Amino acid sequence: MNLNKLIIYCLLLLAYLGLSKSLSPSEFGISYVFNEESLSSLIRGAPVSVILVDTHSTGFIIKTYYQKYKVVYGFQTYEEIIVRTSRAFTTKHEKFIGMSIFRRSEDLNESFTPLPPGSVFIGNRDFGRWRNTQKGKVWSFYRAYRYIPQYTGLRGFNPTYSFYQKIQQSLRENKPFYGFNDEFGTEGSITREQFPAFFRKGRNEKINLKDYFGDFLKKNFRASRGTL
Amino acid sequence: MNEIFDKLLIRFLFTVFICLGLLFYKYAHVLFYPSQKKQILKKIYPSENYVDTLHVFSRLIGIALIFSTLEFNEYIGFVQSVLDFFILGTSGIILYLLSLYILDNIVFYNFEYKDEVLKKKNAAYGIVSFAQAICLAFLVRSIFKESEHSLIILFILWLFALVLFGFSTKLYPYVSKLSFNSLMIQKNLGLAFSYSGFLFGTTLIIMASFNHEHHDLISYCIQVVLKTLLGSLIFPIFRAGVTQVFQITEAPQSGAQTDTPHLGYGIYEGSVFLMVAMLTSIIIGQIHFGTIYPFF
Repeated sequence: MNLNKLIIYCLLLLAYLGLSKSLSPSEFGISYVFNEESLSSLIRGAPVSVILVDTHSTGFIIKTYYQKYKVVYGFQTYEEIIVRTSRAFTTKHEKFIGMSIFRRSEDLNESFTPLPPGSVFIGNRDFGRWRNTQKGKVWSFYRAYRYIPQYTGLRGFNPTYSFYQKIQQSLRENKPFYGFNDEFGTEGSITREQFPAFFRKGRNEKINLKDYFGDFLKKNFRASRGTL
Repeated sequence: MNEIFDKLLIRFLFTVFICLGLLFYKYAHVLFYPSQKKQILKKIYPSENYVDTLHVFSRLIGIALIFSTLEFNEYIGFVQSVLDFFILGTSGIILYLLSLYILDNIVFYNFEYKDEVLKKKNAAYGIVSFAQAICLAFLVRSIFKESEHSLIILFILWLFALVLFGFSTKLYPYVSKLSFNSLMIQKNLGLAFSYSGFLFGTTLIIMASFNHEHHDLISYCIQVVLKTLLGSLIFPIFRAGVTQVFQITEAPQSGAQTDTPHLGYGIYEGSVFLMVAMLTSIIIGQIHFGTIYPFF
């Protein structure tokens, strides 16, 4: 009898898990990205730059990880997508907020080296040109593509020719490039300015027990005196 | 002053309307139990047959429970408010009476109201019938709130709730060691308390399952099913926990030779069902998880 009950309980458990997985609304519409290849298959079109703009985890013991990407296309407006990711993939990219983690050029070459956002468009003669200034050669987008710096988070930043060369070198060596002064990436000043959502207060905020009990006593003390 | 009289008059009118609802039940009772037509239409002497009193007044309490969820908002227009009140009130009573009729045929499929209440004065039947009427009233009240004044949603949710409740009443043999049919024939009070606790507990779990936000009906119903299923997973854990913590020896046979056999065991089961269902409803209804949306 006990064994029968155990079997029924296990069947109920399986039914619950199966139904939750297949019917739960929270499972709908979110793709799962567990490695670079799955990210590549998710992103269509070229040229395109995928910028990691935010990351978040839910759950207490068994965590679910999410990443938010800004997908900037060369010939159309950008789109933002949220994906579920693996822990390893999230951990791997935790230092690359505000950076391009995937790009596909017009000739369909793909690369996953973390680079400053929109680096696929820098140096591409279809989108802009090098201008000679007092600081040397500086990349300037054509008027038709003036929205790209805005979309990619490069607004106010003028990529120099040496910056471009460093990007190419990082691509060849498959090493992340955070900018000459570490302006990009999770700790970067430009990232902090262009992607403020990630740094907003309240995310992973640790509770201060002293403040918590202080507030609690303060509220209750006030309430007991008839003030709110 | 005129305004005060006007408001008082409206309140009186609604009081009369609710009394008419109770009158409606009186004649509905005749429809459901046609062989006892004279019984309900003549004067009631509560002290003559307490089982019948319990049976009739449980339904009246149920109707009162359903009416207690209705609102009259004069500021949206008097006529519209009256119509809203009238339509929803009438629908509530009709759905409630239909629920009673259906559940009577599911739970008491082996028993006749005439035999058990009027002839045998079966107290166990009366208590279970009382519990069932109150549970159904709470369920109808709950789906009334969830339907947000839409009759179509109300009807769909009512059907859905009735299926869940009807199905759950059939699970009693899996959670209790008492035999419903044989002990009911013996007018066993232990069974009555046990089954009443089970019905109240089931109602609490179903109500907790229905109590969540809904944006579209399909995903809402899916969530209700999932929560009910979750309830059936959590319920045995709590029950096993209570049994282990208090070292309860579940033996319904002990005390079977007393004047009221199984009474202690029935009270124990009923109380545990109710308590465990309340705790289960916390787990399925009052634990909220965040989503990614506040962040993204």
